[in-house]
Amino acid sequence: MCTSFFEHVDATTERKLELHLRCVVATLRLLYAHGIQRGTGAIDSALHDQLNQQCAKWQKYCDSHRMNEGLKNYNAEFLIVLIQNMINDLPSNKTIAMNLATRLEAAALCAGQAVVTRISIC
Amino acid sequence: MEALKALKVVVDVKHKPVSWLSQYRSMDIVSISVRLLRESYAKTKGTETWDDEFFQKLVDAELDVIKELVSILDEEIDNKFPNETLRNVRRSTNNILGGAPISRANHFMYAILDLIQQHAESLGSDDPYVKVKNHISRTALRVAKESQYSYLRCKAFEVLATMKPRLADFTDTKIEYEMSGCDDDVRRTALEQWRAIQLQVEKMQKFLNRLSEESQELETQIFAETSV
Repeated sequence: MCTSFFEHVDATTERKLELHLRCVVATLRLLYAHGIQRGTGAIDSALHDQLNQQCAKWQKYCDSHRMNEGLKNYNAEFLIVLIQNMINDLPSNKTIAMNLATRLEAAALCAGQAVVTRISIC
Repeated sequence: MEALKALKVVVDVKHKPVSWLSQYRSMDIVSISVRLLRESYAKTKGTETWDDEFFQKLVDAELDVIKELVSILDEEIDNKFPNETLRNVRRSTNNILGGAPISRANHFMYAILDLIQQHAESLGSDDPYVKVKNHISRTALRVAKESQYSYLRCKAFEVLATMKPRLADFTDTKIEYEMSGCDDDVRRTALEQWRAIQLQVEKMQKFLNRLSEESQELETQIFAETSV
């Protein structure tokens, strides 16, 4: 992923950005296709955040620039929304933490039940 | 226990995906699979043995996929276009604050038009495709005519501009005729958008062709260097 996209801007930047976004969508599609199992932490939460930040940067550029033909680049705008949603739909290690929290809660509930039972036996 | 519940809240994903994502992804997977099969067949039909009926079955499958996409779009148009005023306020505020991008209310229709465009770019001029091309152009014209939102109209025009070289009887007059029923302002804006989009599609095509040529040259150069 190109993170220094807007350092040099020329007449073709809009088209390059659209192509770049389509490549990111294709990459995410491959990530989905090759199966990320929930809980494996295939996407690091730092990368997850970085991708989200990048979406905001792309969005900011799109909002402030027009194509040479005077129109907004609606394709880029749509692709940014799509990318962001695809990223948020992917499991990250935040998902592991969530799973862990759920399991701990369940375990604590069981343990609590066991303690109550022992006390009642005594 | 309270701490654990708090942890769950902290780690919960804040931005839930849009409701149409799973439906879009399913259609995307089907579309891309059919297109990949078609490309694979075109590349290897001279060297590999394929079933005699394979191509016809592939064409039928592709036609079904496109028809399904068009019917989803028709259904969405029949349900009227959701109002975007409130969402636009949220989007503007969000842009000022530099927050995560928010989708537009009709982005699902946009997504379906984008999928249709990907098919339209590679449709052959064979007879079975003529019917589908007419079907697509009719629906795209309907979106352009009925949508009050520029982004949807522009996307519909983009689909039409992509297909224009492959449609025998499609001229600018057809767009002018279709838009003649709209208000003067809308009609004028739409015709300007149509001209701009045609130029945009043409430039994008040239840009992609140039990139393709450059990558081929680079490939040849690398091959020559490594073989030495």
